Amino acid sequence: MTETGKKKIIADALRYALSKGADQCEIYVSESRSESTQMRDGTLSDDQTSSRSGFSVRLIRGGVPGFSYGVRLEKEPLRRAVDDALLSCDFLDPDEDYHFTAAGKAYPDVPAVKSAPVSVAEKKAVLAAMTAAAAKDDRIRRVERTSVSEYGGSTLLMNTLGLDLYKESRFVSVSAAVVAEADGDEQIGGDFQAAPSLDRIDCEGVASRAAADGIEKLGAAPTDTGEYPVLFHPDAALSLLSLLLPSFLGDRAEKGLSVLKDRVGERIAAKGVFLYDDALMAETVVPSPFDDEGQPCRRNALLEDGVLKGFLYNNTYASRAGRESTGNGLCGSHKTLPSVGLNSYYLKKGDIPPEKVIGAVSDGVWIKDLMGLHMADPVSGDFSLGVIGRRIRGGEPAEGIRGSMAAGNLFDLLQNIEAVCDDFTVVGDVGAPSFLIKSLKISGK
Amino acid sequence: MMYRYSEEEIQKILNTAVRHGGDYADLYLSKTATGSVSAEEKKIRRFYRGLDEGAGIRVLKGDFSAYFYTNDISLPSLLALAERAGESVRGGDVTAPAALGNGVAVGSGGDFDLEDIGRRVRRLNGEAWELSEKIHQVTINYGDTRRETLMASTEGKLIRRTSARKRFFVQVVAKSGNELQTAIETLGDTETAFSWSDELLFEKIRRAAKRAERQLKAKEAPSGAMPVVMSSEAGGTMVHEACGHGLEGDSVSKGLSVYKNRLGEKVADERITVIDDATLPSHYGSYAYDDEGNEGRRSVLIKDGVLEQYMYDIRSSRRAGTSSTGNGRRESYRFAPQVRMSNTFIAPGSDDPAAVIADLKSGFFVRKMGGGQVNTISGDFVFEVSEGYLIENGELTDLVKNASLIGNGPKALSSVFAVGDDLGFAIGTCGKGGQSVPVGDAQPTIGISELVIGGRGSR
Repeated sequence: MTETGKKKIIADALRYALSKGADQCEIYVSESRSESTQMRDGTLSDDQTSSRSGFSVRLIRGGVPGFSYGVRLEKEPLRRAVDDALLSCDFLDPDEDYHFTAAGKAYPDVPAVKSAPVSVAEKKAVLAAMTAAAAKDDRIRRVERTSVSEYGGSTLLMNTLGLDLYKESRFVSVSAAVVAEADGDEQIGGDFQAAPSLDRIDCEGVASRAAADGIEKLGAAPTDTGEYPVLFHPDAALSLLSLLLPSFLGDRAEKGLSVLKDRVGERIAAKGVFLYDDALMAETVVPSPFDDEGQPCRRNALLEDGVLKGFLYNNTYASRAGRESTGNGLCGSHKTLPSVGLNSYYLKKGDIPPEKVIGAVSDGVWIKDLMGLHMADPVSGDFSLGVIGRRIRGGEPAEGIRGSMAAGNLFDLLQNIEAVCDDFTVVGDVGAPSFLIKSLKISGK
Repeated sequence: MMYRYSEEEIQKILNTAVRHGGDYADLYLSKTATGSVSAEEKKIRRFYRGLDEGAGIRVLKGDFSAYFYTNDISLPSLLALAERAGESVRGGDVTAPAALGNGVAVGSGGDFDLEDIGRRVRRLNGEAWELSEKIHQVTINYGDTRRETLMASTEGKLIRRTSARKRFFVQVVAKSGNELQTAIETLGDTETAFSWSDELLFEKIRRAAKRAERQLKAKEAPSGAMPVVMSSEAGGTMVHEACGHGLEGDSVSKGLSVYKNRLGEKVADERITVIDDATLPSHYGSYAYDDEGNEGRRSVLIKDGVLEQYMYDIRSSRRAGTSSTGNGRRESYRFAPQVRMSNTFIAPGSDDPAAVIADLKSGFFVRKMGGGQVNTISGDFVFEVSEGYLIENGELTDLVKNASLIGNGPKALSSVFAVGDDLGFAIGTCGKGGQSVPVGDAQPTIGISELVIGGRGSR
C-alpha cells in the first residue's frame, strides 16, 4: 500500500476514535523487512527472509490511556482495534501525565541512507571470503557460521494533534562464528558488526576477529580467587554498560528503581568518564530523527567528567518529573506502549592505548567476555558474572581464564575507573573503549 | 477453525514450495490473541488486548534451509512466499510431496476474561503494599496468550492446534536506607481456564515480599570453590543449563556440544536420571504437538548416569540420520524452529533432603535459583542464586546475597554426592538464537561436591 493510502485509512480511524468518545488518538505503524544469508563451512546453509507490519492504537478518554494493537492496516481491523482500546479505558486508572506530541516540533536532519540491496552473488562472494579469512589458522576446526543480513524498516505516526511523521531506516549486519581446537580443548569464537551499508564493514576483519577470539579462549582454566586490577575489553565494557544504563531511565528513577535518583550534579563516577545517549550518533546504524512518540531525538549527556547530568524521559515520565521529553519514548514493537528506552549510547574514548595500561599492571585480570548478564541486579547494581579472559602478569597478557566469576557493584565500579582507553569500538549501535578498574573480586580456584 | 484454507489450497502451497527441488517443506500459520494486565506504582498501568497473525514457509534441501515469513496470510501472498522460498533451493531433482493425510485437531479454544483478571490484579496489588513498611515498589504482570496454529508438511502432516499459556509475575522491591533488594516469583500453566485462586497468587506475592525484605539483612556471599546443596524448591535452572542445552540435537550434530559422540557413555553420577517431558498435564513447558507438527513426548536423556539420547527437531534429526523427538519449537511464525526443551528435570533419588545438609561440615545451600547461561561447547554454565545460605556443621547459618555459581556440566553432574527423594518444578523463559520459548524445569534436592561461588566475601 502507498503511504497516501495508509494515511487515508489512519485518518479514518482517528476520526472514528473521536466519534466514539476518545478525546485524543494516535496511531503508530511499523513495517520491517529483513533478508539473511548464512554459510556453514563455506556452503550455503540458511536463507531467511521476512516482511512484517503492525499497528498500535493509543488513545486518551477522560484522562485514561487506552491501547490496542493489530496486524492488518485495513479500515475494519483498525476500527476494531480502536474499539478494543476504548474498552481498555473502562478499566485503566487515569494518568494525567500521559499525553501525545503535538505537531510543529523542529526535527534534526538525518542523512538519508541510499544503499543498494546486496545481490545474492555479492553475498556469496563476501561469505566465501569471510570463510577463508576465518579458517587461516590451523587451530580453526570449523567455520560454523558466516552471515550477511540486510534490514529495512519504516515508521508512520499520526495523531489528532496534527502530528504526521514518517521515517525509514536501513542497515546491514555481518557475523562470524568458528570452532577452535587444540589439545582436545574446543572453544567457540565470534564477532559481529553492523553499518548502514555493506561497504562500510570490514567483513574479513569480522571473520579474522572471530577466529582470534576462539583461539584466544583455548586452554583457559579457573584462576586463583583474589582481588585484582581488571581491564575490561570493549565487548565486556559494553556488557557492563547495558546493565548500568537502566539506572539512567527516568521512569525507573520516578518508580524508585534507580539509586541515582536525586543525585543530578553529583560526581558518581571517576573523572574522565563521559557517557551519552545519542540517537544521532555518527557511527550509529539507524540514526533517528524522532522517537516512537514523535519527539525530536538529540544527544543526551548522562555523565560528564564523572558528574551525573540527568535522566532520559518519554512524554509521561518527563511530565511526572516536571521536565521535557529527551526523545526516549520507545516501544520495542507495535505490541507495547512507548516506555522510556535507550537510543544509541556510548562511553567516550580516553587517550591511553590498552597496551600501555596492560604494561603497567603487574598482576591483574583482562576480562574479554561476561557470562550470565541477565543475572545481575540492575536496581542495586550488584553483579556476580562468569568471566572469560586472561591474566595479566608482569605487564604482559598471560594464561586464559574461564570457570571463574567476577563480583562487585556497578556504581562502585564507576567510581573506581582508573583509566579510559583510546580503543573506542562500536558494536551495532552502541560503543565503548576499554577501561581499567582499580580492584575487583575474582573467584575461581 | 479460523483458517479458511482447504486441503487443496494447503497442498498447492506446499507443492509450490518444493517445485524447484526442495526435498521437504512445511507451512506454519498462526493467529495469537494476547491479553495483558500490569500494575505498578499502585495503579493499573496496562490492560490491553492485541492480535498477531502470520505465516512461515520453510524449504529444506539436504542441510540447507530457507525460511520465509510474512504477516500477509492471504492465499496469493502465501503462494508467492512459497515460490520465493522454493526458488532459493533451485536445482536438483524435484521430490513429489506426499498427499496430506487426515488432519489432526488438538486443544480446545476458550477465551480469557481480562476484566475479571484485571480486578484481581488491582486487588492483589493493593494488598501487596500492606505487607510491609519496607516495600518500595510492587510490579504485577499477567499475560495470557491463545494461539491457533495450522501446521502442514510435504510429509503429509496436517495439524490444527489450539493452545493457551498463562503467566503471572510479581516483583517486589524492598528498601532499607539506600539499599534496594528485589525478589521475583512466577506462576505459569497451559490450561484453558483460569484456575489460580487469589490465595495462591497472594502467596506468591507474600513470598517475593518476604524474600526481598530478608535480603536486606543478608551478608555478602563467599567466594571460591565449595560443596553446594540445591533445594528441590530451587527450580531447575541448573539441569536446564548444565546438561539440557548440551543435549539439544542442533548443538550436538554440529559438534558444538561437550556431550557430542557420547551416547551410551557415563556422563553423570549413577544417581542422575534426566528427563525431558512435554506431556506433563498443564505444565508451562508442555505441548500436545511441537511447532513442526510432531507429538510432544517424554524422553529419558540420561538414565542412571548414562547418556541415552539427544533431543531433535526435524532439521537436526536429518543431519544426524535419525528422527525428531518432538522438540522442534519456535517463538512464533517469525522464526524457523529450533531444538528446544519442554519440561526438563532430574528424577528424584532416595536421599533424605534434610540429611543431605546435616551431613555437611561446611558448604553452600541454594534455596532458590534465578536465571542462568551455558556455553555448550565447553559445558561451562552459570546460574544466579536468588536465596542462598552458608552451611556450617550441618546447619544453615547466614543468609547471603549477590551470589552466582559457575560450574562445568559433565564435571558437576559426575560429582553429585546426593539426590533427594523430593521434586519441585519452576517455570522459565528460555532464550536461544534470538527466540524465547516457555519451559518448565525441576530437580530434587541435589548435593554437588564442588562449584565455584562468585561472591564478594571471603571463603
